[in-house]
Amino acid sequence: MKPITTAEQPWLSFKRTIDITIDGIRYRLFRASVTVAIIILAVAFLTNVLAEGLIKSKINAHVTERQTINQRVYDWSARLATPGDTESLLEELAMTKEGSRLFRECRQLTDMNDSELTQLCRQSQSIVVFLGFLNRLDYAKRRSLVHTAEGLAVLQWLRLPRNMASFQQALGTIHSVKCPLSQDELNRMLDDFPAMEIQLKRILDARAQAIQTLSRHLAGRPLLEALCETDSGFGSLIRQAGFMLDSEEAALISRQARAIQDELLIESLLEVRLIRQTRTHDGSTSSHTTQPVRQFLAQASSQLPSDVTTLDLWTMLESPRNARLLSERLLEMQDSSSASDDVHLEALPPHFLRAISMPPERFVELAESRREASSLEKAARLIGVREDVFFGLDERMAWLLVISLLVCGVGITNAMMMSVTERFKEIATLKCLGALDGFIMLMFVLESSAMGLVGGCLGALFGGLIGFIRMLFAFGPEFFSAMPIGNLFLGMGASVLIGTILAAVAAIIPSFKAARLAPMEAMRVE
Amino acid sequence: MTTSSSAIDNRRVIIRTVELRKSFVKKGVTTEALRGIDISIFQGEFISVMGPSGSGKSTFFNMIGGLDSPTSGRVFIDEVDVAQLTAEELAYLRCHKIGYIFQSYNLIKYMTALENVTTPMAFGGVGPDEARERGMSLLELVGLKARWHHRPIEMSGGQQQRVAIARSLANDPSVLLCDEPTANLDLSTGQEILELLQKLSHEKGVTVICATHDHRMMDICDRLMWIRDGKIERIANRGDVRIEIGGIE
Repeated sequence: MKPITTAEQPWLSFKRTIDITIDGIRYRLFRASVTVAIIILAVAFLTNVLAEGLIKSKINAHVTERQTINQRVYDWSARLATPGDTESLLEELAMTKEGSRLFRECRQLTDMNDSELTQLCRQSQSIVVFLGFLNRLDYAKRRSLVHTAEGLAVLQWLRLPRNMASFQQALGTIHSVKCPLSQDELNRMLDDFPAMEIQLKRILDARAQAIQTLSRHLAGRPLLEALCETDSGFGSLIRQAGFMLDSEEAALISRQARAIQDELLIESLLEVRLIRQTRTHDGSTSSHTTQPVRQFLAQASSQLPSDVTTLDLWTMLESPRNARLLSERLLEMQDSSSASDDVHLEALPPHFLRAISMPPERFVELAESRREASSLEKAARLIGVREDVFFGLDERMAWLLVISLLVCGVGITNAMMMSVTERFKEIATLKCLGALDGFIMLMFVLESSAMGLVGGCLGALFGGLIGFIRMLFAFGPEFFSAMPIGNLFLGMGASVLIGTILAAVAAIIPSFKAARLAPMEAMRVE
Repeated sequence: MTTSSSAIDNRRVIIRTVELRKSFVKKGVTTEALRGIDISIFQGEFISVMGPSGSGKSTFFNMIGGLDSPTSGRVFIDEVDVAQLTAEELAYLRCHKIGYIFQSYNLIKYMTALENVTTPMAFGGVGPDEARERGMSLLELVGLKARWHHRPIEMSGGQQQRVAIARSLANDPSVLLCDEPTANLDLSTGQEILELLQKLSHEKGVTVICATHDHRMMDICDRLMWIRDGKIERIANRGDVRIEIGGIE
């Protein structure tokens, strides 16, 4: 018998495969468009959720950063007023890295060395992680683990061997809970805690000491007023007391403190009373009191003078014209009171007159910074408490997304399965003409991926657009200042990729079925 | 298979079956489609396979076309045992050695006539330029050169079948397997197709195996083969048949 001389069939070139696939799609455009529509929907949803999640996390980071900066003066006034408690110090230390401000401050206040402090920070981290883990549990689970102990008392409670045993036992029975620390780490943490407590106390004591020194220097002056001079005299006092304060920070704080002070002054203008005394012909006097700023605002906003609030004041001052009008009005009042003995102005903070001499630009500036702060607050409220699981999505949304993708995948598989069934004869004919199984498989996977790519791009465009518009309306100015366009494109790109891969994967089973088809199906006559 | 003349015996055997059996098992019931077929088909021969439906004709066709494997027995195509071939080798065999012509033409709907003809060449590794050239000459052979850019839907049944014939010749096969090529065509178009097949058989020396019910086939084929109940009922040369058919009628 002759040996087998048939050579192996070569692979069809990739370009030709694509050509045939694209021709096939074009011929079945309607069916393809239905499949593409499914993909568009799923990918649009995916992109929307992803992009919104990413935009939100970017805005969130931006807002948090801005708010932290805006509230620096409050942080400092708290820091300079009380030494804080052990737990808050622990949290501060847990977030501290070597060489940071707090790190240097602790080193300066106490005489601890770097390695001691680094170790303290690391220990604080594990305690914070452990306590955070307990705080996230629901009441029943927490109760079965650590009974009713709260905060640092948990560590005391766990130090008793009997309690530790019950903790371990409970941990073993609740399978849904996984302790972030291993048994060794937990034991070490508990062993280290008494020594740590002493170190923490040293830091707190040193802080209390520094605060006392500072308050002696203040001698009854309000802290806010002193903070206005952080960039000059008071700053060096703070440094002398042992706190770490760089000049940039000092400038920021004094600017913010001054803004707060000015705001209070401007708000006090609402209460300014103009008292006009008139002498009657019989020599007795009668006085007539008006609240000129309230009246002015009431006119502008058509309300009763008594209904005018500080909010109205600030809203009005956002316009430079109104600010100038108010300023003119105030100066006029001041002039009239200094011109005549019968007229004088009165308000609760005795130095309110300083507000009158402020330039109208300052009014506008303060009003604008207030508006910005409130818009930041609104954005923060809109974002709410976020628990990132994946790509800035929370757990439920991630689930919803996975399910929607699964549904889409099943839809694509179904569509491709029907396409295979419909094309039995064509596939069988191609196999009669010498097509390899791999070619048939590749043809279907390519067809599906092509639809995935087209559907993905369109879906990403729709979803991204919807997300963009929605976020724009939700966050307004914060959206622009955070500039999350990069994140938007990232979300869109990721969705296109996921859509294409999903379509390709969904086509594997149908294409396998097609490749396994017997070529003799071509002989069958309908 | 005793009826073949000595002149034919000297020619090269292109397809040979030995004790070919095929049975299908469905829901526990075994159906024997082929019950031992031994036949040698020679190069350049035009052979008609006739038989009522359910006779095993199609199964026989699948076997000798390398589309299905026998339950027992052997099929040799060009002295190669089909059962021993891998999937890739089978694909090669189908691509290069055998041309298929179907009752319902089976052209790829989204390809033009030329693309349909050149697809087997692409599978066989022929370059696009050469494929185009050869495709055009094949279309010329079947008289459709002017319509190379038409899609199947724009052509009549006869024209589609002619494109299918051109396609089946794409890689110069040794064997053409035709499964009732004229069943879907009207009389005169069917006649044209048959003449075309006859011409190819004579001019190119291609072995044509034709399953058919068409009695005109008897006029042009070299041998006739009847299958009934999975067995060869009769094999006859063309000259002998004419008399016998007359006798029956």
